[in-house]
Amino acid sequence: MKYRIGVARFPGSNCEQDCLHALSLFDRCEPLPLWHREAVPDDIAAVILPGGFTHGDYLRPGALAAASPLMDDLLRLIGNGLPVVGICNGFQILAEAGVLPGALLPNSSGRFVCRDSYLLHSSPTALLPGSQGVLKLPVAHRSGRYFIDRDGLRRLQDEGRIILQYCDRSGGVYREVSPNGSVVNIAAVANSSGTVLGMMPHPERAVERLPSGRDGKVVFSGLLDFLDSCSSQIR
Amino acid sequence: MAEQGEKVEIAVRLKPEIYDPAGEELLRSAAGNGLQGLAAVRINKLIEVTFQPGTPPETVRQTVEQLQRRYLVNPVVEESQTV
Repeated sequence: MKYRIGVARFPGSNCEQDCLHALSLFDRCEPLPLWHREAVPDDIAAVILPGGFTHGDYLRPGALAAASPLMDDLLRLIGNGLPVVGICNGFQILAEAGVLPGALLPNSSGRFVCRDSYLLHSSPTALLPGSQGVLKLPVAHRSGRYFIDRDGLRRLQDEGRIILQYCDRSGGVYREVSPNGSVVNIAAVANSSGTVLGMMPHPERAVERLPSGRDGKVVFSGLLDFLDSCSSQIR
Repeated sequence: MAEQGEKVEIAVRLKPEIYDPAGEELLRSAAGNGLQGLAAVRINKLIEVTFQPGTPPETVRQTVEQLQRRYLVNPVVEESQTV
C-alpha cells in the first residue's frame, strides 16, 4: 500500500518540489501537491508544510499562511491525529497557527543564514524515533530564532518535546554553534502527542549524496514508519 | 470629495523582553555615526486600516478585534493597541 503524502503549496512556497522529490525516493509513498485554498483530500495520510516565503513573509513569516483555508482544515485533521511535518517556513506556519508552542523571530545576527548545520537528536518522538545521534542538515532562514517563555520551555523539556538542537560536529550544544540565537539552541519541537513536528533545518535538501548528504532521509522514513505503525485508519 | 470611511490605527509592539536585532543594528549604526544620547531603539509596527464609508461602528470594532487576533499580533512575542 502506498501512502498519499500531501505537500502544501502557498504563494511563495519554494521547497515544495524538493519535498515532493524527497518523498518520491521512497516506494511506500505517493506525493501529492496541495493548494492552500483547497481542502485536504480525504485519503491523505500525512502532510508536509514545506519551506519558502509564504505571502512574502509579510506581517510575520507564516502569519498569513496560518490563516489560509488549508490550515483551517489541517487544524481539524491534526486534532484527529493526522501527522504533519513543518519545515522552515512550515515550522513558522505551525507556530503562528498555535499548533506548536513558541515563536520564530529574526535571527539574532540580523542576517539570513544559509549553511549546513549539525543537529543533536535530543529526544525520540513519534515521527523521529530512536536515537539518531548527530545529523548534518542545511539551514536557510532569516527568522529561525526559536523563542518560548520560561514556563513553556520547562514544559517542552519535561515532556521531551525538544527534538533537535543545533550542536557542533560531536554533539556539543552551546550558544556559539546556533545559527540564529534560539532558546537552548532549539531547532525542532513536537506537539504533545508527537504527531506534529516543526523543524527549521531542511531534510529535503539532504536526501542524496549531493549537495548535503543523506541525513535528511530519516525524517521522511520516520514519517513513513510511523504510518506503518498505525494499524488503524489515521482518520 | 469622496466620503471617507473610518480609519483605525493599530500599534503592534514586540514585548519588552524580546530581543530586537533590527533595532539594535539601527542603534549601533546611529550611535556609531555620532548621534548623541541614544540608549535603546525598538522597531515596531503601525497598521492603518480604512473602512468602507458607512460601515457600522460595531462592525468596525469586531473587524479590528478579529484582525488583531487572527493576523496582526502573535501573542507569544507581541502586544497591540489601537492608537
